[in-house]
Amino acid sequence: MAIKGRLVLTLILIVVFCAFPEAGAESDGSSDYRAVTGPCAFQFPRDHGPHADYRTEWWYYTGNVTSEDGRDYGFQFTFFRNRLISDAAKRRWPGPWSRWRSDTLILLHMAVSDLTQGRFVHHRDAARAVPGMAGAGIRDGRVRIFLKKSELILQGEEHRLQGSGDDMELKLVAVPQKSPVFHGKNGYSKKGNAPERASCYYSFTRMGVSGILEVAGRRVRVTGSAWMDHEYSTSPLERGIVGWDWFSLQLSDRTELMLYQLRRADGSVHPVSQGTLVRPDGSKKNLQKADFEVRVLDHWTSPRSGATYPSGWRIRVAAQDLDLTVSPRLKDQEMAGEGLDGIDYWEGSVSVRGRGGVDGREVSGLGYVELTGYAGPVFALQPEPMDESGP
Amino acid sequence: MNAAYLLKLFFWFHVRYVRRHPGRAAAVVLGVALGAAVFTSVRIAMHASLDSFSRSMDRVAGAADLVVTRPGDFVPEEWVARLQAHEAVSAAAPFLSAYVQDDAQRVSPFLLIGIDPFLDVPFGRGLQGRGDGPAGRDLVTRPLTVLMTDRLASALGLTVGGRVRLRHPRGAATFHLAGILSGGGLAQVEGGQVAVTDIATFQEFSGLFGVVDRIDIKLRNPGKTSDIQALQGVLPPDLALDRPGRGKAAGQGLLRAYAANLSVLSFVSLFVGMFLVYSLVALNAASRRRETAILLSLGATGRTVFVLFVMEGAFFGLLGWFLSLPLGLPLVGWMVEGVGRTVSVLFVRVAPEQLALNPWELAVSFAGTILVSALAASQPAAEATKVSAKEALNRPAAAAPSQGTGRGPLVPALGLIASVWALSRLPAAGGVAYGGYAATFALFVGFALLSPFVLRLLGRSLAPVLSRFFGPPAHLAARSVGRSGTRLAVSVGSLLTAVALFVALTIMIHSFRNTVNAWVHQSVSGDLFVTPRLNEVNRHRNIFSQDQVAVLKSLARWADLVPFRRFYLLHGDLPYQFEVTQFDRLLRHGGYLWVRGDPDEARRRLLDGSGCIVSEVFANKTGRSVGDRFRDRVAGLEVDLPIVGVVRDYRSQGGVVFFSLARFRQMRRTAGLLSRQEEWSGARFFVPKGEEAPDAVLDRIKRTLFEKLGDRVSFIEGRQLRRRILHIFDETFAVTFVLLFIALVVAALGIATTLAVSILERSVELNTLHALGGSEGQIRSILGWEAALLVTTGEGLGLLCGLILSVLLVYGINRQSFGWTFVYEVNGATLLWALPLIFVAALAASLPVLKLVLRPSPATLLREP
Repeated sequence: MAIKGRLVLTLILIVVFCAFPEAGAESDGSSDYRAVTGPCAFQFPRDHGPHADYRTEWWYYTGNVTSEDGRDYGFQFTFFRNRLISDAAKRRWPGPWSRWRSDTLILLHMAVSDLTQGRFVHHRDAARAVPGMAGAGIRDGRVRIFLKKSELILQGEEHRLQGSGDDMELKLVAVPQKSPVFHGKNGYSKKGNAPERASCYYSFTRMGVSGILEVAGRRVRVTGSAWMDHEYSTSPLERGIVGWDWFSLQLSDRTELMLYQLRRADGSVHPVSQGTLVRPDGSKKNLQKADFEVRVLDHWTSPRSGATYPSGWRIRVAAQDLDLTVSPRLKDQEMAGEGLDGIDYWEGSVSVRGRGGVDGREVSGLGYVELTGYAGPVFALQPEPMDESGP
Repeated sequence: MNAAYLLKLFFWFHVRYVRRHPGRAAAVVLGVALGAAVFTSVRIAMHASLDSFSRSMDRVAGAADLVVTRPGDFVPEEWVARLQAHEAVSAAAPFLSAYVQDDAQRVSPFLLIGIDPFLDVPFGRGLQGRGDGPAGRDLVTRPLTVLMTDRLASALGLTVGGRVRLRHPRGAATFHLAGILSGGGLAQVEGGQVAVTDIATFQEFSGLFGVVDRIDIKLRNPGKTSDIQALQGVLPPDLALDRPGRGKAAGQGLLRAYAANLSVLSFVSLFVGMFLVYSLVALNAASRRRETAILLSLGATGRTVFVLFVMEGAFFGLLGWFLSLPLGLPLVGWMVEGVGRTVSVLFVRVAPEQLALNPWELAVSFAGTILVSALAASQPAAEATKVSAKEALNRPAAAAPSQGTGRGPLVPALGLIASVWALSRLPAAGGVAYGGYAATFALFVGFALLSPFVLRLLGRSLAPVLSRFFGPPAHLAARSVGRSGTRLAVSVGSLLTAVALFVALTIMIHSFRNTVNAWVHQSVSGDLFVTPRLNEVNRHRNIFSQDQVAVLKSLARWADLVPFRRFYLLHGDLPYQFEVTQFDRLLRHGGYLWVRGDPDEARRRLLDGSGCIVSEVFANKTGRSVGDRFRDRVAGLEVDLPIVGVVRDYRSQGGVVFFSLARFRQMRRTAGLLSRQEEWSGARFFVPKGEEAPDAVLDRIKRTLFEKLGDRVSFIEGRQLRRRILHIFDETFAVTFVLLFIALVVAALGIATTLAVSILERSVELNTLHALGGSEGQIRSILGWEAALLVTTGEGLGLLCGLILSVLLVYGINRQSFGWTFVYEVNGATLLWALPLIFVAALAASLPVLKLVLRPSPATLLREP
C-alpha cells in the first residue's frame, strides 16, 4: 500500500491544521508531542489502536478484488487521526470548553476503481472527534475508528471496513494471511536525516478480503486481496522533499514488495528512501535506496489538476533478481482535492509482470501505487510558526 | 402596416411638429420623467432590499435540503450526530448565530455565525478553502478567533492579526482576527456585515453549551418523500423539520406588502404624468386637424392615424424615461438607503447595495412608462381618426368647444367609483392587497372622468354668481371652463389625483399615528425597560441569568416589576411573537386597545391563565379570532389555548399572542421543561406615584442596575422608548412624503401645461377679444380665474376622492397588507392649512403661463391662414 501517500496526506494535514512553534531546531510544534526516535516495540492488540501522544496516525487499506460476475475493482480506505493541538497548548485554553473543542481530527479518504467500467469514484470527509460524530479508541482489545457512518473495527483477526460516501458504499472484512511486518528497524521507519524524522510503522502485507462494494448504485459481492498499513508519527517530512512515489505490490509467488522514493525539488531521490521485501514465509528483508531502482516508463496528465503523473514503471531489485513492470490498471485514479485538505494525489490499482521472486521465475501480481507532490510541492505546505500566546 | 413606413411617417408628421413647439413637449417630457424617475428609483430600492434579504437567507441556508429547529428555543447538539447517522442523511451540520457588538460601538450590531468548518463543507457556505492556511487553521485550533469580511474589518479598523472586543448578551471577550472572509457564501450575508467563528468558540463565548440554533441537513435523495417522513419520524415532537426557505418566505412576506405599497405610491407619480401626455396629444390632435385630413385624403387609414398619435404619446414616454435616468440617479441612492433603513428597522435586517441597477426593474419601469404614455394618448388618437378627409379642402375647424354635456363619461365614472367597494373586498393574494390597489385606481380614474361633468356644472352654475361679484372676466372664465370639456378636465384629473393622495395619506398617517400613540402609551407602558444586552436585536433568545433575576427582584421594593418572556415563532409563513407576562401587575398600570372580545372577561382569563389574547395582525392574517383556539409548540411545550380577545399591536414583525407568565411556567414545569427558576427575557418597571419623585426612584434603579450588572443588561426609560417608537414611525413615512411631494409637483406642472395649451389653443379668440377692446389685464384676469376655477375643482374633487381613499387605505389596504387597522380620524387642522397652500402653489405654478397671452400680435393671428 502507498504508505508514502498516507504520510503525505497526514503530514499535509498536520501542517494545515496543527502547527505550533517548537523550541529548538524547526518551529513546527513537534516538541509538543511524543516523537518516534527508535524501535517501536509493538504490542498487539494494543498497538492496533490509536496513539494519541503522537501527532498523526493512519490506518490505510488498499486492495484488489473481483466480483462474482468477474468484474475487477480496486479500493482504498483510509482513516487519519490528527492532533489539532498539543496538551501543552490545551492547558492554556480558557475554560469551560465546548464539547466541539476537540483536540483531534478524524479524516476519511475512500476510493473505488471500477476497472471494468473504467470509472474512478472517491470520497473524502473530516470531522472533529466529538461524541457521536468521529473518534478513535480501543476497548477490551477492540479497536474502533469512526467518522459519521464510516468505521473501521479491528477485533481479533478481523478487520471490518465500512465506508459510506455519496456515490459509493464499502463493506469489507479483511483477515491477515501473514503476520504483521515491522518496517525499518522493528517498526522504526526513517523519513529524514534527523532521528525523530521517523514513524512507527507496520503492515499486514497480505490479507484475504471479502464483502460488498456499491458504486454508482451498482452493488456487488467481491473477494480478493488487501494490504493494510498502520503508521503513527509526529515529525513532518524534511524540508525540501516535494513528494514521493510509493509502491505496494503483491506477487503471485506470495512475495510482497513495498518501496518508497522521497523526491526532492531537483529531481533527485532522498537517501532515506527505502523498501521492504516480504517473503512467502513472512520473513522480511529491508531494502535501502541502493538496493532498488525505479524507472518511469510513461506519463499521464490529469485534466482536472493539470498534474502530470508517472504512469508505468520498471522496478528492479538487484539483490533479489526482481525485474518488474508495473502498470496502472486505470489511468485516471487521481484523488482530486476537495474540502478542507484540498490535496491532489494519485492512488490507484496497478498490475505487475516480470521475473524474480524466490527462484527467478515469471511472476505477476497486483498492487497499489501512490504518487504525491505532482500537483503541487509538498514543501509549500510546511508548518509555520504559530503564536501560542492565547486569546 | 409597414413598420419602417410608419416610423418614417411618424418622424415626418410628429417629430418635426414637436420640434417646432419644443416648450410644450419639454414640459410634458419633464413631467413624465419625474414620474418615471420616482417609479424606477422606488422599484430599484425595494428590489435592492428584497435582494439583500433573499441573498442573505440563501447564503445562510447554503445547500441545505432541510433544517431542524426547536421553535422558540435551541436544539440539543447531540442531534447533529444522531441525524448524521440516519441513512437518509448525507450531511448534517450545526449552526449558531447572534448579533454582537464591538466594545467601542464603531458599527451597529453585526451577525456572528458559529459553524463547524469540517461539517459545513457539503453546504457550500464558502468556508471550504484550498489550503486557506493560517485562517482556517486558527479557527479550529485557537479559541476566540474569527474571520470577518473586509467590509466589516475595515469598519472596525482591523487588519488580520488584530484584536477586537466583542459583546454578546451573555458576556464579552477579545477576539483575534485570523483572516478575511471573501467570495460568495457567508461573506455576502447581511451585505457583508458578518463574522464567522468556530462553533466551539461560539458556544464558549455565548455560554450556549450543548445547544445549537438549528441543524442543517443534506439528504442522500432530496426528492424522496419517504426519506423525509422517516426523518420526521425519528424526531421528538418538540423538534421541527422544515425546508430552509421557510424563514426566507416569512421575511419576504413581510416585505412584499411594504414593497407593493411603495410601488403603487410611486406609480401614482407616473399616473399623474399620464395626464400631461393626454393633454398635449389632445392639443396636437385638435390643432392639426387639417394636416390629419390631408394625410387621410392621401390614403392613410384611420388606423394609421390612430397609431401615429399613440406613437406620439409613446414617444413622449420614451423621452421622459430616458430623461428620468439622470434625474433619478440622485434619487436612487437616497431611496436605496432610506428604504433599506426602514426595512431594517421595521421588518428584517438588510444591507442593500447602493446602485444595484437591476435590468428587470429597469425594463419594468421602461415598459410601464411607455405603456402608460401610449394609453394616455389613445383617447385623443381615437378622436383624431374622426377627422374627415374633407377638412383638407375646407378651412380647418377651430379647437372645438365642449363636445356635449360632459355626461358622456359620467356613467363609466360613477360605475368605476361604485366598483371601489367591491374591488376592495377582494381578498389579498400573497399578502398584497391587489383588490385594494385596483380600487384605488378605479377611484382615481372614476373621479378624473367626472371632471368634465363637474366643470360644466360648475361653469354654468357659477358664471352668474361670479359675474355678479367679480365682473365679466370671472363670468367669461366660468363660461369657458364650463365649455372646455375634456381639454381642461385633464389637468383637473391630474391635480385631483395628487390632492386625493395627499388627503388620503394625511388622514391615514394621522389616524395611524394617533392610534400608535395610544397603543404606545397603553401597551408599551412602563417607566423602565430592561433586557439582557443586545436582546432586542437577538429576538429575545437570551434570558436573564439567575443573579440578574435576583437583582431585578431586589429592585421591586422601589417599583412594580413586570417580567416577560418573548418567543419569536412562525405560524405557517406568518412570523409572530408569543409573549408571556405577569398580567396582575401589568394591567394595573397599562392595558390594551381592544378590537374584539369582552375586555373584562378577557382580563379575567388572562389573569387566571385560562386564555390568551392575540393581536389584530395575528387574527387577520391567520383568520383566528375570539372563540377560536391558538395552537402551537413553544420552546418544546405544546400550547393549546382559547383566544379570548383581539387587541391592537403595531409591532411590525408579524403578530403577537399574549399569555400568562405564571401559567406558562407552570405548564413548562409540568412538562419537565423548566431549566431554571425564572426564565425572563425582559422586564419593565412601573414607578409608583408616591412621596418620592418618580425620576429620583428611576435614577436609583438605573444606578443599581449599572452597579450590580454592569453592561450585561440594557435598559431604556419608558418615555424614551415611546419617543423612539414614534420617531421610527415618523421616519418610515419620510419616503412616503417625498413621493407625495413629487406627485404634487407633477400635478402642478400639469395645471401649468394645460393652461399653456389652452392659451395657445385660444390665441385667436383671446386676441380677438384684445382687438375688440379688452385690455391685457382683463384677459389675464380671465385666465387667472380659469386657473383658480380649475385648481378649485381639482382640489374639491381631490378632497372628496381623498376622503374615500382614506377609508379604503385604513380599512382595506392596510388591513390586507399588514393585518392592522387604526382608529379613523380626520386631521382637520392639517387639511385646513395644507389645502389652501396647495391651491396657492398650483395657482402660482400657472402664473408664468399667463405671460404667453398676447405674445403674437393680433394682426398676425387674425390674418387668414
